Parts: sequence; C-alpha cells; structure tokens
Amino acid sequence: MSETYNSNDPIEVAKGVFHLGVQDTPNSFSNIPYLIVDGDGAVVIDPGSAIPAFYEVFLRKVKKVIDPKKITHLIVQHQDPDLCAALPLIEKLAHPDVKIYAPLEAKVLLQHYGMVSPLVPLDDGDTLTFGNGRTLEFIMTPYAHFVGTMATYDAATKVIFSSDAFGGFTGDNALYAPASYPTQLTAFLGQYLGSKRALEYALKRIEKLAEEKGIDLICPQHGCLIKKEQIPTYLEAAHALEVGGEIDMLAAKHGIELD
Amino acid sequence: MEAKEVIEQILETALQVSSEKDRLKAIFEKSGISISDDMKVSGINGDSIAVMATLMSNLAEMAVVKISAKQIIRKGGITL
Repeated sequence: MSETYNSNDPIEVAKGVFHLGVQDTPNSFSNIPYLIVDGDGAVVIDPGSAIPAFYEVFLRKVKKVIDPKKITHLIVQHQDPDLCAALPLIEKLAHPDVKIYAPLEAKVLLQHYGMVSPLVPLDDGDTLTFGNGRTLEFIMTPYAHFVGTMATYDAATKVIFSSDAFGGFTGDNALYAPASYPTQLTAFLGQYLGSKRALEYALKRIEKLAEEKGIDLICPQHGCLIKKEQIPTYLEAAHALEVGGEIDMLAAKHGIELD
Repeated sequence: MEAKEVIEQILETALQVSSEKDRLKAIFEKSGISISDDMKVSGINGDSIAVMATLMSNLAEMAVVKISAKQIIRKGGITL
C-alpha cells in the first residue's frame, strides 16, 4: 500500500474501499471522501467540498475506479459542508436512482444544499446492503460533534468510517497516522468537541464494536488512517482529550462562574 | 506555565499541524518572536503576554494553527 496520497490517484485501503483524499496544505485540513465498490453497486461516504479545486480531485479519483453512474448510494455522516457540499454536484453524475442516507437530525439540514435525490433518514443500528450483499452498519455517535453524527461500519473489511472522530489537522499527505498524530488529533478534536460525555460514548461504542466484530482500520474524514495496531494508542489519546475548553476560556474572560 | 513556554509549545505544535515552515516563521517574527534556523524560539521582543496576543492576532491567516494555539494558551492558564 502507498504511504502517501496525491491529487490524482485513488488508493484502495481495503478490499473495494478507496481513499479519495484531498489535501489542503495551506490550511492543514485534509478532506477524505471514500468510495466502496461491490459488484454493480458503489457507495460514496461523505463526498466532500463543493470548492472546484476539491471537487475536481474527488471526481477525478472516482472516475479512475468506476463510472460515476454506478454510484447508487451517497452516505453523509453529518451535515458539515466540508463533508457534503458536493452532494448537488455528484448526484447529477451518479445513478439516476441514487439515494442519500444521513442521520435524521442531519437530514433536516442537508436539504438546504439543494439536492433533488431522495433523502433517507438513518437511526442507530440501521443497515444498508448493496452490490453483492455487502452490508454497512450505521452507528450513531450523537453530539460528536453534532447531534446527528454517525460512523459507518463495513463488516466485509472491518473498516470503520469514523467521520470527525479520530480526525486530525495535517499539513502533509501521509496516508497513515505518523508518530506526531496524537498532537494533530488533539489540535482538531480538542477544539471541535464540546462534550466529554459525548466523546466517551463514541469511543466506548467503537471499543465495543471492536470487541464484538473487530476493527482493522479506522478511516476518519480528516487527517490520517489508523491501522489496527495503532488503534490502542489513538483510543488512549482520544480518551485523554480535554474538550469544551472554549467555554471555560470565555467564562473566565467574562467573569462567569460555571459548575 | 510561563508565557515563554506557552509560546514555545505553540510553535512546536504549529510545526506538527502545518508544513508551511516559512509562513509560520514569518508570522512568529512579525509578532516579535525570533526564530532560529532549526525552528526554535530564540527570543521574545517585549512583554511575553503582549507578544502572545499579537501572535494570536497574526495567526488569523492560519486558522488551524490558531485553533491549536488557543488550546495551548488555555491549558497554560493564560487569559488574553
């Protein structure tokens, strides 16, 4: 497997799972759509930004794997524009019957991107079967960092698409987490998560999934992929995160006391 | 934590989240922080807290670095 990614080539990181990452070096904020291909079915998880320079990379990489017309399902793990502003663009090129899947609370907001494809609301434990019977399971991780946030588990490869969880700020194009990644993870999640309780639920849910079904690879939306042998290190780093600190800083600034 | 240590930690973290070394060096130096060739803080020109405030203002053009710096300042017990 390649250890870095570029702007041209998709990378198959597990059987039928393609990393379509777009690096934004000046802003240290990578954006990683994923494509899963199985038989005649194809799923895109979080297609990414509508900024032309980003979308063009995404589309170029998709076309190197499949005809976009084969995309039958678009999965959105929460509604932020870096994950899914490209929906109205890709739906025009996807299968005519393409459907968009998202957590219920995200669905309410997603419609405002102006897509026309049907939006299917998801709940915890829902599954999607496509292609030759490949099944994706949806795992809700509420308030991490939006109430309608989820992760997606591909049972065939034991890959979890973790959305922002395990994401990091990175200025380079490393495919897999380097030694410095706990710092990069902390810099991102330490500021973007507001609730320790929400973080702990998400982490413990992922740990439970790992125990019951196994996780071989974590694929976050930003930053680097985390291999099976690295997972304990990053779970430890994530459990140690201090989150919601922006409130404490502003409370101190304005002399507001909080419990 | 001393203000100088906080500034050093901001630079150390910035170098891990950004690969734009020249840009970082220019921003730190514009803020009154001298940076050595091996990208360490070699001097702070003025009151450390005032310099830190200027740095945070100048880091607005590198949002991700500023976001990580905010957390370091907070953990250092400093309110700007």
